[in-house]
Amino acid sequence: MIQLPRSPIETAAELAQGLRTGRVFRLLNFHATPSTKREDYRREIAACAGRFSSLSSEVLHRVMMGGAMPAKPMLLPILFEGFRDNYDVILPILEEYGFKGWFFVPSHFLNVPVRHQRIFAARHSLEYGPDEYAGERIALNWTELRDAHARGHLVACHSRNHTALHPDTPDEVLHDEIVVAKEELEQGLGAAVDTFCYLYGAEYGLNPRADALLLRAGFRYLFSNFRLQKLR
Amino acid sequence: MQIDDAYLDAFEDDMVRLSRRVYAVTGVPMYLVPEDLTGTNPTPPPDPEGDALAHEFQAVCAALSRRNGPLASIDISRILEVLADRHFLDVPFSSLADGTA
Repeated sequence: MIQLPRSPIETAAELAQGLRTGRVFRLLNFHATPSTKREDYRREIAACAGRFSSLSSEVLHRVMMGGAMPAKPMLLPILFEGFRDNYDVILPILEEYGFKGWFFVPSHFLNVPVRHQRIFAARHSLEYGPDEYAGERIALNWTELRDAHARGHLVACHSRNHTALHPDTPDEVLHDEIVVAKEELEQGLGAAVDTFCYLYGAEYGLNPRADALLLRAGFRYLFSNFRLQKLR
Repeated sequence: MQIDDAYLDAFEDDMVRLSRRVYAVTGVPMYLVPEDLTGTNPTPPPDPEGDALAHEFQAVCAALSRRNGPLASIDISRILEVLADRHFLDVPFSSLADGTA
């Protein structure tokens, strides 16, 4: 599922060069965060408190412009997929320990009618654990996402329909998953979004047509499996 | 650091164990390397902690490819996951979820 623009050997050599500088971000990647795992999440986040600093968008911009790294290593809790339990379960824990969460949202998931959210999830690789909201929505709603953003958490575009990038992805799909996704997310959020991530974390260089569209749409950063790439 | 058979056996055991996590509901630590595609920032100098991590990463990549054949993209992911699990905290990060810490 991981597709790279260069060979694994070349990629590993490039990553080693980056690791050597010590300028690395530490991620905690979450997807669904059911309440059944709440105490696990609490232990994990508590163990990170004090050791790591949170990363705001201001610090990210500064670091990506070549500025100094904060004294403490930076931790980015990434909340992929836009599940409702990110807001209900893990967000309060992150706030309790002073971390900013990064919501990576497939924009259309939040607009899917409640009745169809589970089949949408099943058809678009949006995997979750126990269904804790029987008969109710499983996706975040826009009010929750706007509230989290207003409280200082960050929002990134995770395509429109949770779509992976391939070298031969058709132009119309790219337009929908990059350009329309950004418009839809910004309209729902009521704020600009400058960060993008594909399903399965493709990086810049895999598909030049997608690269051009990311730039034209105005994205500044691309999160991929192994890199955070500054595009412009 | 020395990459001997015992080290590599233990590393592979961690790769297998961590790959069997239920990713949909599990917090997974990972490293992300920043990259400036605009080429406007000077290349930063090495630092000791980063150098040690890079050295371990490269040594494991080389040793695993000697043992198992050419490195695949999924190998890079699994190797970084093990390193992050081992080095984020003073205890393996995964031990916090399984209650063994």
